[in-house]
Amino acid sequence: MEFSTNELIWAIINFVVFFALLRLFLYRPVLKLLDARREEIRNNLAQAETARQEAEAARAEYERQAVKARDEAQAVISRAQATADKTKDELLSQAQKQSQEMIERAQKAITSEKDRALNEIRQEIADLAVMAASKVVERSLDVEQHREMVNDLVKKMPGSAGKAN
Amino acid sequence: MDLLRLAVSGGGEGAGKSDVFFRLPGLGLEVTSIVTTTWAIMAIVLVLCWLGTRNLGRVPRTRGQALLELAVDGLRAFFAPIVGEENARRFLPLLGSLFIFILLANYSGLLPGAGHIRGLKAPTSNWGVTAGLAAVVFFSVQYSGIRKRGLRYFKHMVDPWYLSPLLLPLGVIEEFVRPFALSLRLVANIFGGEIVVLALLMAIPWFLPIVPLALELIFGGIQAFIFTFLTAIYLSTAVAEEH
Repeated sequence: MEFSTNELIWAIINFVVFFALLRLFLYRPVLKLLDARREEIRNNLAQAETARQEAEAARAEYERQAVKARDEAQAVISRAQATADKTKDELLSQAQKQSQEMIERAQKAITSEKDRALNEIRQEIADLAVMAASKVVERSLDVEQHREMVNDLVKKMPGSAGKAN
Repeated sequence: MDLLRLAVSGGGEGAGKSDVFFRLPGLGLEVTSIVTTTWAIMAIVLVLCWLGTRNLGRVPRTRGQALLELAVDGLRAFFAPIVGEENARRFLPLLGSLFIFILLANYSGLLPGAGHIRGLKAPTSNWGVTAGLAAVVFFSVQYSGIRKRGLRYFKHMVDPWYLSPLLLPLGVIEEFVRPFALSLRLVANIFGGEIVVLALLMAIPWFLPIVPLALELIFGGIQAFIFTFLTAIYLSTAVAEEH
């Protein structure tokens, strides 16, 4: 095991040079870089957190609005339903009323038409009967007898004198 | 046994002056195999670092960058629990450089022919080198302590004032014993390790020298770790405010 002052002095010089150059070429740039990267990562994480919170807030706001919109839509639908029900009821009752009126009018028209037709038929029958009778007896009855006969006949007919059967 | 004697004598008989490549004029400093090995280690590490950090991107673009980031952050994370987060960052260049320097200096002794061919000799097998590193640690500790706490740094040597005649010499001695122990521990272990490896190689030359080499790998790593770890503790004690 040797000891020499020469090596001691050289070791100090060499190490100091080594230290200085390593500091220049290794530690300073690499530490600077690592610090910058750490800082950047920290900033990015903070930004990501902020962005997350903003997104969360936006989502909550969106949900709130969606609920509101749903409620409003529900209200609109209910209102429309109520209106439709009311309109339907109105229309139905109106239609019923109208149809009732139409039926009544039709019945009245039918009745009067029937009476008129019966009268006409009666008249017709009387004439036909006179004609048939004159053919049968082969002679003309005088007018007074004639009328009397017909009237008797008419009176004997069922539902006579405007009385509808 | 010749080989063992060779190893113990530190690289050949009469190695003393024959190892000198050249002498720096004026300063009287000699460039030896240990110095050239140190320069080679420094050159390799620095070139790799220069290549790796030449073109740093916020997202690692090259494998080299990823590796260097891993090394720097790994060293920082390693020292953080020992000296605290803030100190780990402040002392990282010194502690990391010490660790890399000592680790590679230890491992250079594992290269084939280390210590026997000219220009290649494990620097940490010479006490002068470890003493030099310990001197750097000594001055760094004193500088950091005084810079952080001013004159209060010396307070622990004179704290109960009535004990200061006893505490002051003890404190001063302690400050010098620490680096002394640091340097001796490192050199003795590496030197001892080399001898153990050599002895094992001689005992079982017909086996692949994997076992002794693996042992020496572990020794080298542990010694680099202990040296740096103790330095970290000295530094953190020096800058710690007393309660």
